[in-house]
Amino acid sequence: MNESTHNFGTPADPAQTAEAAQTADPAQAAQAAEGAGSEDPAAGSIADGARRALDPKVIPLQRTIGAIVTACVSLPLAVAVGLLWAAAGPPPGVVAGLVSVWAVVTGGLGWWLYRWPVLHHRHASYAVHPDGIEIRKGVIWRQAISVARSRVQHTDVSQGPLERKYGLGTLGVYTAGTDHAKVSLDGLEHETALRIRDHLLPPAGDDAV
Amino acid sequence: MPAEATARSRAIEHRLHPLSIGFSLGSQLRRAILPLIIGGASANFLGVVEMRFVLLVGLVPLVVGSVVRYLTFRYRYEEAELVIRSGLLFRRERHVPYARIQNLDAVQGVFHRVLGVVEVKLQTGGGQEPEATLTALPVPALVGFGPRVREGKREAAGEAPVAAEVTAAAGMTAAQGVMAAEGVMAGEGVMAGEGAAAGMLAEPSADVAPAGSSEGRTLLHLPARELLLHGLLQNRGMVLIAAAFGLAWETGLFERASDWIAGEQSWIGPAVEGAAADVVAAGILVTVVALAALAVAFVIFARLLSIVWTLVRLHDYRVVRSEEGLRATFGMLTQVAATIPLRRVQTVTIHEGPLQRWAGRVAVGVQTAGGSQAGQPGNADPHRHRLAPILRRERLRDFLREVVPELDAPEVGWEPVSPLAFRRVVRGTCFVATLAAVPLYFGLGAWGVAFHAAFLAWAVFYARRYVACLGWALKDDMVWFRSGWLWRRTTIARYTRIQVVALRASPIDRWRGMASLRVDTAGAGAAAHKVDIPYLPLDTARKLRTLLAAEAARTAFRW
Repeated sequence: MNESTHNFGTPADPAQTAEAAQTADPAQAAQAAEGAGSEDPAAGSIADGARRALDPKVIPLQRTIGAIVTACVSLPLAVAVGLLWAAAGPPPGVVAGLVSVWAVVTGGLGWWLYRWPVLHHRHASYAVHPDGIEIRKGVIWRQAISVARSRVQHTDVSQGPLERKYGLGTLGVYTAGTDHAKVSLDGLEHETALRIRDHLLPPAGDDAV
Repeated sequence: MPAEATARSRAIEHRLHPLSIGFSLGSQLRRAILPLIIGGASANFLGVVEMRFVLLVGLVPLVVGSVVRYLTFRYRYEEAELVIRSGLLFRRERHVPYARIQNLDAVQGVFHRVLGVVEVKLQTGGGQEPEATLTALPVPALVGFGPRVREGKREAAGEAPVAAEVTAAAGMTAAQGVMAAEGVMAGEGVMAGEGAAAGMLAEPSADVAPAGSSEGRTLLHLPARELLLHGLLQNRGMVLIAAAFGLAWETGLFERASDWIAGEQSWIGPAVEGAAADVVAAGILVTVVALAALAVAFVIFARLLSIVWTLVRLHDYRVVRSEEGLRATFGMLTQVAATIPLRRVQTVTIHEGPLQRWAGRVAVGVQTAGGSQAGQPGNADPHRHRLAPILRRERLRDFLREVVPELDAPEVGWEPVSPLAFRRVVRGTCFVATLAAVPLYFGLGAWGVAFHAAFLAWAVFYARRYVACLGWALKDDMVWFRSGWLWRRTTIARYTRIQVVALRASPIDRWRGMASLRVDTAGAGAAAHKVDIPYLPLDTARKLRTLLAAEAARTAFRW
């Protein structure tokens, strides 16, 4: 395996980041300079290679979705149990059994969908490098995906109604690949998603077809 | 070219050949006829309506659709793109830039040839279906395709000259075209395809054919002997028999045949029955021998069928390397000319089956970004997956170097997967072996133990071999991945073709400190062999991911 001097995919090293900023195209360099010039380091270029967690607001967002899903499963079940009770009048033991099944399903699903977002948030992260993006996600099946900037076909940032309420956005990175033709990252602050999108967009006139 | 001629031609749109009505109706009928018959038969059975009525109602929309499609279908050559308009209610105008065309296939079936038309399929990077299928083009129109694509000419083929002249001219333009196309990126694939088609179409006239074929080096030509071997090694016969059986079943032919064989007045049924009774009466040894003979006869029949099918389908199989494209032409009844621009090749896969290895042969397939869906009947795509259906092992190196110029030699030092991989695989295979052995315990009693032991031994042996054959390597700026013991496949992806690198770890992976690494490329079909290395030690997988991602970031991807 030949040693690569590139540090894409490894934790950031300030010297290399600076070097990468020098070699980048003028627009990006200007952006980087702008970031360096401002007082607040957080306002600098997003492409510093640091690993970032998702916006914590994604937890309440996913919990809201979880509550909706739980309600969508639980209410029809309750109605079905009620109808069965009213129509057939089964013995009380059966009714008790059905009600307890309903309670277990609702409670279990509700608890699961309440706990899950925390785990999801804990195991999801991303790092934007000068030459690409690296995404980690997955609680049970873990994934670490690298997409080079030179392979990005196009990107988009979408915002559903609930995401809009929380000020979040979903970044979609499209490549010419097959299994990973779309790499998406949800739970980003909308502003951050837009910045990553702008960074990943291929420079104009770079269409090497 | 005079300016007014250019201006005039901009408006000129071409139509398909009127025969395209028939061809598109035919292809739609092939898809719709079975559901129609089944629907009609069940309606008839239920006494709702007569079957004829159902068929009529079903067919009318198809006919109308085909006619409307023909009447509304227009294509024209713009400077940099092919524009196709179609649709009556929902109008569609497609722009296919010449430079984005990945593959160009010209397919001529028997009817196409008799009627002097050709079907052209264009594929671009996106999507599974051909971007544009020109169902039936008059041959002269195809002949005009290449030069127009190359030079962006927009002059109309309004006055269609005599076909023979045009064909001869095509041989010329194709040959000249390739010479002129050096360094011209746009449309070289199209042009090579046009050359292929022209060469193919010009076959009858002996003086043109050499002009078509002399434009490139022949990389591979399969004589009848190799095709015979290919048919023998490849088990196409069973597939054909299964297909024929299914068709007979669906269309009711099967019932009629069984009536004919086992019906009241038939003499075949009783004769077979009598013979079988005689054999059984002659004792168990004779029965076993007779059954074995029947099985052998069936296998021989299937292989013969496979040989015949191969000889017809791949007749005169040729792969020609022209300036930048690879061109495969083949077929006795349905003639296919498939073109792959070299730079469109995403990955290369080497296939080795047990029989092939024994005969010292391999097969080589390539994946391109266009139309990754394999196995569609009548499509030339399966042959892209087997660009070289059969190749002598000693010629593999030269062939690969033509397809992937950066490649030095197909021999690499394979890196093994994690030493713990065997333990994981053997658990799986032993589980399957036990599952398979359970019914034998019921059927055979104590003998079941012996079978179970034999199965387990095989499972352990298989797992050992399987893990030993898993391997990866980095060489010549490419990532190599090999898997499979009996049916071994080796896939090679250049760093420049890597799209996404993903490290994945399942719960068991994490427990064992492993991960798998997927190197995603364009055009990897669902059934294709991909670079997806399992059971890697975690830190190896991490290093590999970092390295490959950096390599991908360093290089630019060109379609």
